Amino acid sequence: MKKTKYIPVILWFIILTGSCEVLDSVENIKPLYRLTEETTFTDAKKTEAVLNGVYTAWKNSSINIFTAQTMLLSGNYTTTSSIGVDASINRVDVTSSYLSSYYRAYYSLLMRANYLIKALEADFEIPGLNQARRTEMKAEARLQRAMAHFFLLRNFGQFYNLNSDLGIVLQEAPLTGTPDNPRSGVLACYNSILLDIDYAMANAPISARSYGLLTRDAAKAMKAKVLLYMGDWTEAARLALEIINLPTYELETDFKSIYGNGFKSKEVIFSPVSIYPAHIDRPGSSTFSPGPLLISTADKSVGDPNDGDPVTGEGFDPRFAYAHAQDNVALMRPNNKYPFGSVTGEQANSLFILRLGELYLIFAEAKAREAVTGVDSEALAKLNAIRYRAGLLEISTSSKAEFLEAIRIEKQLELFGEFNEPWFDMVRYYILGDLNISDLKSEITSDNQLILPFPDAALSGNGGLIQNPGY
Amino acid sequence: MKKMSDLFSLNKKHPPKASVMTILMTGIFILTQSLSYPIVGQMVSINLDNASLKECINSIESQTSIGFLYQEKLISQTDRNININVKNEDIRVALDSIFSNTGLAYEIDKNVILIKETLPTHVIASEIISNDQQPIIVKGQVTDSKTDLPLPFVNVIIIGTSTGVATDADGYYTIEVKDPNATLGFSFLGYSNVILPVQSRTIINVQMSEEVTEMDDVIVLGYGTMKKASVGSSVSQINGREIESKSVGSISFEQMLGGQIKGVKITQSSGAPGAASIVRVRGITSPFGGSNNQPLYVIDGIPFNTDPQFSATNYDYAKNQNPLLSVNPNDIASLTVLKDAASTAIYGSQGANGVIIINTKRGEKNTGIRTSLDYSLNLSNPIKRLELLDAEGYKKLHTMIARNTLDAYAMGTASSSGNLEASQVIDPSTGVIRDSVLDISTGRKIPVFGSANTDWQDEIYRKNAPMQQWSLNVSGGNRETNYSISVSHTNQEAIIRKSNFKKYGARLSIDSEANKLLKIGTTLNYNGSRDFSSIANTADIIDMFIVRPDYPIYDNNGLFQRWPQYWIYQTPGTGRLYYEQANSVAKLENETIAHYNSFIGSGYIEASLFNGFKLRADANTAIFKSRSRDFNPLRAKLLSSTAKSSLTNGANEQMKTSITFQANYQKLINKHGIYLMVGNSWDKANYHRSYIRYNGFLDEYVLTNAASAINYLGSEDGEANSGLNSIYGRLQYTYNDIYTTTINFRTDKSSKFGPGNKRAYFPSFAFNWNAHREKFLENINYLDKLVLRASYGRSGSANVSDFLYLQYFQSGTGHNKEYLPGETTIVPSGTYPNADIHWETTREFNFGFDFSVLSDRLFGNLDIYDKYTSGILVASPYPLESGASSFTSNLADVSNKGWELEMGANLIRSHDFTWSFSFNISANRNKVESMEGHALTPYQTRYFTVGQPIGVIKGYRVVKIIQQQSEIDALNDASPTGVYQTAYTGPGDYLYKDLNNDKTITAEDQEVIGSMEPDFFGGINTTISYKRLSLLTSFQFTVGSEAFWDSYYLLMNPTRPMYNASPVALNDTWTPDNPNAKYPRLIYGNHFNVSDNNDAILDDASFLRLKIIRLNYDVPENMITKLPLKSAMFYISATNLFTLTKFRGLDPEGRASYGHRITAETSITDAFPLLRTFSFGVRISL
Repeated sequence: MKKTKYIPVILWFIILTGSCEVLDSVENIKPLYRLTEETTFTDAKKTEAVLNGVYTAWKNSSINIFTAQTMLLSGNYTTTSSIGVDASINRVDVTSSYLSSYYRAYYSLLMRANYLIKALEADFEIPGLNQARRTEMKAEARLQRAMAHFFLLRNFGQFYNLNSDLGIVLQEAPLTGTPDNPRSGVLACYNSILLDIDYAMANAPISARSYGLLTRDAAKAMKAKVLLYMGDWTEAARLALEIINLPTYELETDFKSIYGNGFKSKEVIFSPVSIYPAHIDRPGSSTFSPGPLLISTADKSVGDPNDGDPVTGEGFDPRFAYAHAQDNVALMRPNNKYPFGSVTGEQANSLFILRLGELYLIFAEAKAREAVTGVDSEALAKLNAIRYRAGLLEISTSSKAEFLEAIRIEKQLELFGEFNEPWFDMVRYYILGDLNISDLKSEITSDNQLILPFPDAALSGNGGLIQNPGY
Repeated sequence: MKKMSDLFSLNKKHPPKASVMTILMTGIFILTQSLSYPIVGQMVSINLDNASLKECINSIESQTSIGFLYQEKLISQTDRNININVKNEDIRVALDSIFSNTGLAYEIDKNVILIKETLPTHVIASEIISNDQQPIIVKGQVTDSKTDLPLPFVNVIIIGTSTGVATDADGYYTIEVKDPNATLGFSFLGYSNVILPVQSRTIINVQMSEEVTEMDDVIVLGYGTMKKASVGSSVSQINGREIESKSVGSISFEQMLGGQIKGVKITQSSGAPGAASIVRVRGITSPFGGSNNQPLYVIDGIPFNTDPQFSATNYDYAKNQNPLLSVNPNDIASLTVLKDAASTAIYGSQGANGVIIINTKRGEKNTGIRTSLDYSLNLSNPIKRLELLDAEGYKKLHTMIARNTLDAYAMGTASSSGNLEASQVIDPSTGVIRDSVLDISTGRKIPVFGSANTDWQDEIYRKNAPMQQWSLNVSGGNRETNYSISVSHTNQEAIIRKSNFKKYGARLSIDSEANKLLKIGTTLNYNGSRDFSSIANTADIIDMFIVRPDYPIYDNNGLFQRWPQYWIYQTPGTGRLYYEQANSVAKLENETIAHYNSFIGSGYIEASLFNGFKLRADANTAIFKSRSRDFNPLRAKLLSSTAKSSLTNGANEQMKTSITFQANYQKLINKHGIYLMVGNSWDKANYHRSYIRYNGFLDEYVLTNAASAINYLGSEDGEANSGLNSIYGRLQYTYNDIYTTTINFRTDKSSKFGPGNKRAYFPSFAFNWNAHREKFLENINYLDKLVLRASYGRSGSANVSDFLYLQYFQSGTGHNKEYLPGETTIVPSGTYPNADIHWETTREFNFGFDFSVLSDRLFGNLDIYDKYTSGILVASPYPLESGASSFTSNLADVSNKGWELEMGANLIRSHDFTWSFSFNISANRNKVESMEGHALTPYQTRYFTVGQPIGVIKGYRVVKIIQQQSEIDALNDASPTGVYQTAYTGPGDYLYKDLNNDKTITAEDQEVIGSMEPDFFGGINTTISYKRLSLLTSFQFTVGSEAFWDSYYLLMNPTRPMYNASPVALNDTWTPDNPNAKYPRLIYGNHFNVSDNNDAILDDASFLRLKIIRLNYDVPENMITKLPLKSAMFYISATNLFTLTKFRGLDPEGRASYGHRITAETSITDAFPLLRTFSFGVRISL
């Protein structure tokens, strides 16, 4: 009897100690299927996977959806949806979740790039990764950082005024904590962008092992575009011409082939790889239809200003007819620049972030502006190259102003419905005194409407952020 | 001194004294003290006049240290008429004298004196022989006093000895009695004890009567129970019988609890089979974390959340079960709600939202096999149907809207998209209603209006949807072991055609005294269900009703008729038809199947080592598994060029394991009682979710499995572990059963938080004063009970995702999965790390008092509390420049103050007729105390404002409906922006009040117009019984809560011709000809007035609802004597019979709860309507 009394005690302690084994200490519970910063950059393969992660950030649906909404700013598109009404009247709603997602999506790309750059710059070996590739990878990441900063700047900062304080928040390292994080001046932003691009021009891969990847040439093309925005006509033209003359990129002989080949087109300088089902949500959604500005420009381009047939496309600019004539577009794909159907495992629509056709027109504009008066013949030739490819007659003019306007119209008709370049052209031309923006878009009554407001959510999360004027 | 613990302990060298033990089971006892040597032979002197029994007892106690054991109630009922004068007499002489006139008897049980009622009428027949001083054999039968049925297994003992027998199956016993003057004790659980002197009789037949026990004398607390009289914190308990009677027709027990428990607000927001209710204990403390602020549930010892937060995969694809379905309402023995922090502190970090403890039924020792069978048939219909126009009204309505739009467009007060829409209904050039619109992609002419007249509600709702429920319970026990086994089955044909819900359950519980030291027990509970829903999402059900009635179900070929949706209009009269919608009956072709399996198992081993000291180990596991299959055939989907039938297979698993070790010690020294418990526990949870998606199927009827799919679209899975190590303890000190102090302590260490923040401490303190036992209140005869309670405690909450303090890197998912084909990615996670994240802490004071007067004719209790929660885990503002997508921090403070009152009365308590009534009302005032100065997102600021309750509703004030264009022109002219309200505001629109007088309407012109928090809520319950009939009614009410009527947008503002609307939209909306209409104008493309928050679309969601009415009939025994039945009972009941409310929609309770956002409750969605159910049921006992 006495002995049995201790059996339960013994049993109790056996269970107690046993269960300590079964139920681990809370210290030992770790995140499942997740790496930390320390365990991520431990070999070349995983580090390359992080770089791939930076590239996939371009597929972020928020970039794509809101890019479509920014197409409403120029009046080139209108919407049938209640979302985007604010953009079409150029009074963007600061509380819009689309706006904050768009803003954040670029910073998400920056976060990915910055973690990678930080690791590649750090003083530790990454087994299997040689120094040459390490430098290349860093250059690819830095070029993407420059591009994200640039696209943020032209949407949210006074990109057209180098002396303005109202740039964007530069993010050149992974952010931690909740510090006040102020905006940089516009020039400081451009300098950061150029520093990254220059590094990429010197260190990025000379040739890409696959479509969809960035190279030194892509960096150079990007630089030409940035310099155009900065007003450095000479350098912009020089770099653009270098790209035009390279064998790497070629204009598609047929305008349609750009879209039929998509991101694999030899004209493409950067278009993210997009394959169903993990594809890009295209800006060519059925809720966006061509706006009066685009329709009238496209109509004026060919024949009489009012002879366009929306069904056949007759009487419209052939590029518009290709993209929007009702006979051409498939059900559900009202913008033929996004022609792919959705078959899993096959190529899907993507964004044309930069293609050679635009470089022709960058060259044309830079060269045209560089000339004190008159029309630069090289510039005219490049413009006509684009017109020729589109199936249009060559133009000729001797007026600098007319020529500049012709280039802008050409860019509008070449690049509408892509990465919203026509809108930024409108803003730049307006700032440079070449046009009255209210004539093109009557809803724009103030210069404050030239850039987007920062979303409310950004202001509440960053005490150092100052809202753009007028919002 | 013998120990108090000896009496309660099962660890005794001698078998338990049956008399003591069984008496102890019958209610509240007071044990004064006890001796270690025999009482008999002690001498006392007492001289008292007109004394109370209590005074006599006190006198004896003061002289002898003899202890008494008695039921408080017995003593307090005696008169002060005792006159006694004894000097140095044997104690028995004194006691005889004392008890002679009291109607009570005493019994010396070795070391205590038991006081009990004399029960002179129990002997119904006896035979006396005069053979004194010889051992005699006493025989007899024990029967039920009411039914005369024999009672088996009744304990018969000779008091003062260890001799005892039990009655046989027919109630007979035989016992040898050595002393003819001995006394026999008869005890049987659930019956009052009978004590009879043998007085030389050889046959003693006894009748025992069922005892009316107060089920809630013992309160279930975390990790133990406590006498209700000692509880100092705020706890409500409902017994199983009540849950059983009120959960008729419901699958899940929480559905019918609304209005039953003071301070607990239960909202049944959906009538879908098995849908979970929203349960709020004393307001909202963690509104932001993503959790739904639900209490912690502890079912048979296993704590779990019904809304655990962890980050893994798309929640919607992997459907989750309502874990509360795992308990069959009939199996519940008790449901206890721990409300204040003092009581929830024992659950520490999980207790801040209250704790609901559910213990399932166990068998009873020393009973025969008891079998009961329940069956019910329930017929349900929606509580209310939408009022919609028929085809003719629908056509009139859209003709009217089209005309309104064209006219408004001409005046510049309609948008061009609205004009386009209207031009397809009416030819603007002629003003004539069109026959058809040309689809230029196919050349088909699509009629503007169809010729059918379909009532979609008729086609979708099943009439008198039947549900049958069966349950069978077998329980019993012998001296060592008790068991309970039950099986149950539910088969419900849901109110939506083709949908059904089936549920199976089985439960086993066993407790056994393995030997004198060890007790072991287990509960195993399995539930399985299959939920087949023919609609893809029960929240969208209204979308199926508000569609055009002018289209038939089937076309001429017998196929489902589709209707046009998403036209891209080109020119008036032509367009491109992009999508064709499936009609609402075709949508019932969806197969949304969820298989749920849950298992709750627990086992314990308890060792009683020495007097008053017990060790206990518990191991518990709960597994909730669900497997879902959503197949959406093309015929039920929107038809477009890329539409394909699709399949999503999902799985969701939650496993909770907890192991606890506990040591208990209790001791009574004179009037001082001490109870000490310490324990530690390991809780581990594992969550897993996964889904796989496919599309494209050749055959849409049979070959719809994954293997038959053409395309694999992708899959995701996610898993998380979390763990909690805890040490807890309870120290209780009772003085003389008048004062009780309880101290709880718990410390938790959680894996959720970072180094330095893992551990938290949760102390609590409660004090209870049984004032009615004080001498100075003893003489107030009408006072039965007066208890004052006070408590203070801290508890916590941490229902957030795991590892929020870490930046981690993971494989990209979705579009991040791979960049170049075949090359996967690694991306930093979107959760912005917060190194400082820590516990939410709730501090709470509670004061309460309980009273009962006039022999329990009137009773009540009141609790007042003040609770403050700090460091609430909020999805907080964070630098978007981090690139992350979410951030959680301890951002806000919230307070909840309130009171809860419950009053009850036993109005009539005669033999045949009883009428009892109870009423509870609670008020909670919630307030956001601080946001630490942070600006929140616009979404959040819409509902969270410092100084206002959570879920405050802000919006515009509607001044009136604008009548003249000149009015709006004047306002526009005065506006600095040229626009007063919107560019298209025109006559017939609401005019908003310009609160800040800046001549233009902006977000700043919104003010607080309501709150989702009610002013009061509660319930009213009555039971009336007459003989064998009893009628139970239960009401629930909520006063003063507001909500947007979400369906206003749909029913009052059809934006496109494919939508039907309420007759009010046709008859009572503004047109130039109907300027006095109640509602604003209808035009196409008008998103402005109705999509804003304004007070015109805000409704008072107060209501009074007759939740249940139930009539019971107990079949008289004589009617079933020929049947092999012990008893039979029939009932009919009706739930949700009527609702009084001003709310305009289907149901003021139909709160939205999508996305686990608490503030979604600011709108009422008219989702799946609640059911009005008529039930017929029968229960038989074998």
